[in-house]
Amino acid sequence: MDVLARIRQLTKPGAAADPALLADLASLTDLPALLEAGRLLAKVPASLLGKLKPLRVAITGTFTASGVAPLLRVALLGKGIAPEIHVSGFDQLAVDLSSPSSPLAEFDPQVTLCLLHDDWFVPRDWDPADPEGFSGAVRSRWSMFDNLVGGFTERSGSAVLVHTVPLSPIEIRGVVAFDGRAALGRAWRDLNSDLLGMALRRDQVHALDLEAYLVDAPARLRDERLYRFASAAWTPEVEHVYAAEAANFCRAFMGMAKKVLVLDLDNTLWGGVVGDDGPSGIQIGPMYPGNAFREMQRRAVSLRRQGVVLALCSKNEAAIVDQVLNEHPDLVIRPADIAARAVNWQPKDQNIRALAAQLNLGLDSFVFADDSTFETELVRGSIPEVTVVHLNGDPADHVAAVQRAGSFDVLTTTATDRSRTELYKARAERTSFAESFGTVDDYLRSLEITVTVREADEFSLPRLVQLGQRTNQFNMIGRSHPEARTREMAASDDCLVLVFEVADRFGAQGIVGGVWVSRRDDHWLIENFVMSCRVFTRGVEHTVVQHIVDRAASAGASRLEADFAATDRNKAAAAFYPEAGFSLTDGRYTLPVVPRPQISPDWTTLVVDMEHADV
Amino acid sequence: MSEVFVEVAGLVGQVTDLPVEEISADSRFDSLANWTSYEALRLLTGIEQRFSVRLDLQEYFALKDVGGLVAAVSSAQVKP
Repeated sequence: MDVLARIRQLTKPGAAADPALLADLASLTDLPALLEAGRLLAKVPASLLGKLKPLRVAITGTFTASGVAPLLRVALLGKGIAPEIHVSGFDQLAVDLSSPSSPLAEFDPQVTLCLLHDDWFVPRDWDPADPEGFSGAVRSRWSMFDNLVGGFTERSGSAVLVHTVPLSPIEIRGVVAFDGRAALGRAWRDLNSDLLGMALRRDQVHALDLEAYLVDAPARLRDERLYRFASAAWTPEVEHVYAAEAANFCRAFMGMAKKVLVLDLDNTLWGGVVGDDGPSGIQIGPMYPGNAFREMQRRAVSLRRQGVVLALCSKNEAAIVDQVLNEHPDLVIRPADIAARAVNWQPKDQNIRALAAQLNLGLDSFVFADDSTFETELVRGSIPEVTVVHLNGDPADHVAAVQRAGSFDVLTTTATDRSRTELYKARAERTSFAESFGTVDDYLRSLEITVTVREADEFSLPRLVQLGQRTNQFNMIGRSHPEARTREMAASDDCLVLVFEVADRFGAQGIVGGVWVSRRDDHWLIENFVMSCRVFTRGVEHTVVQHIVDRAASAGASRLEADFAATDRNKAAAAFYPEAGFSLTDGRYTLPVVPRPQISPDWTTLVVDMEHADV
Repeated sequence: MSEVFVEVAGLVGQVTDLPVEEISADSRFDSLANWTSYEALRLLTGIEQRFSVRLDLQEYFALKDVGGLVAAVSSAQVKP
């Protein structure tokens, strides 16, 4: 049965679930079918499609874009997100953003997409002889938009996605002087530059450089008939480009970016088969096709610098691979770039599972790129959670194939992202070191663990918010406080937002967790507690809670309470509060702080950084 | 029934959510359930993409029934 027929089946009352459908959505490529699929899927209950994360998305704008919602729905479902989409009426942007009681405000979106078109900014009757007048009018229109967005984000807590706006060629050709066109083009780029700048200036605002993506798309901007008749300022092809990028943004917003890139070697990172051709016979270097493979290596290393963990999975002799990685003069990627390797003759699905265990990262955060159909199909079938990129065709197109799905897109990168490979490498070394000790406690004592706790400040808060979004396992309520709320709490005397760092004899881990606490008269409440799985099972979390107990007791509180909500990912965290001595009453964990309980283990040292503390 | 009719009827069925069996050459657009100018535009876009043709918008909105649309598509296909 074809995919559309299967979706139609799901819209019928009492339909049976079809969890395999979402993976098969990728086979839909032509636009009418995608639009149809998106409209039909709006009627399908998410529960029939598998385990999905919900997201409320609002679409508002200055023109009619009826294809964006269905195309966005298909793209998001393909990424494991079940969207609830609110579409505003025609040209409701100003009302939506300014009125606290607009239907959009009442929908209470988590993400608001603002769709903009050129004529909303272009003054109706402008004089081509007066480019400065044009520029001033466009800028004042932008300024109004900027204020609307600013007011909206202050009220709503929703993230807002703006985008650069392509200018219709009709407007450009409407000016006959080349000098005049240059002035017009420059004024227009100033507008787009201002739109991008909003993302850098405002916390909740993000920008999508639509004009840049359209350069690479075979799309006319608009169909003049439909623009005049129905105010449709984008062709379906442009809607498609926008929806794909907006879906990538939503995944980044949800903290669902992929974290690991697993790369094959032969015909992926270099041309030829090193086992057959020898280290000097592989294709890598300044000439085609060696330069195409070198570009792949450069892009992989660039991903590593931005926080993506690189791993190798190759059927090869480890010794010869070692020799190439260390000695080949034309390689860009080096052993220090690679966090873990599975270079052996085992099946690749087993190897990828082993890499996931070694790095302690979920398989759903893995992307696997390989030129072999056999290997890509094996992994696709055996581990559906892994995103598989089949590098078929010319090696010069491989980089684009890895980038196309936007798998690694995140909202921001931090210093910790940039040194993540070192952290994971040290972690792997720590794992082998552990084997030489009799008991785990002896091992932990030998690590000389120091836990440094301090209040979240301007520098640590973005990292904490990002950590909250990407942490699923040790996350007590299974979701994260949004940035706006975290800032509010950090600034309030009634709340406490703590971050903590961990260092041991192998090095410093940077910020690995945080706690959101509200202070009540007779008790303190831990609203959420998140911690990176890198520092699991070392008593770090116990040390942090001990610190909160001590502070609460000193402040005169009689007990500490803690919220907990079970999800299918935070089972490891579920045991922590009971183990630390909390008891469950009325759905909330409670621990008396008088007399003072002992929670912290004897192998950690607590350092309280008082620079910003108020006690 | 021509191939063009089968394809056109399929697209009309898609945009209106009506079973294809209920759509004939005599079906008048203004008597179809769920028919508004929004469905008319979706149908136009779908037809133009499926058949790689471009219809005159004013002529398109003057069409009364599915048979008329089939004829318009067929004649647009003949033109270079």
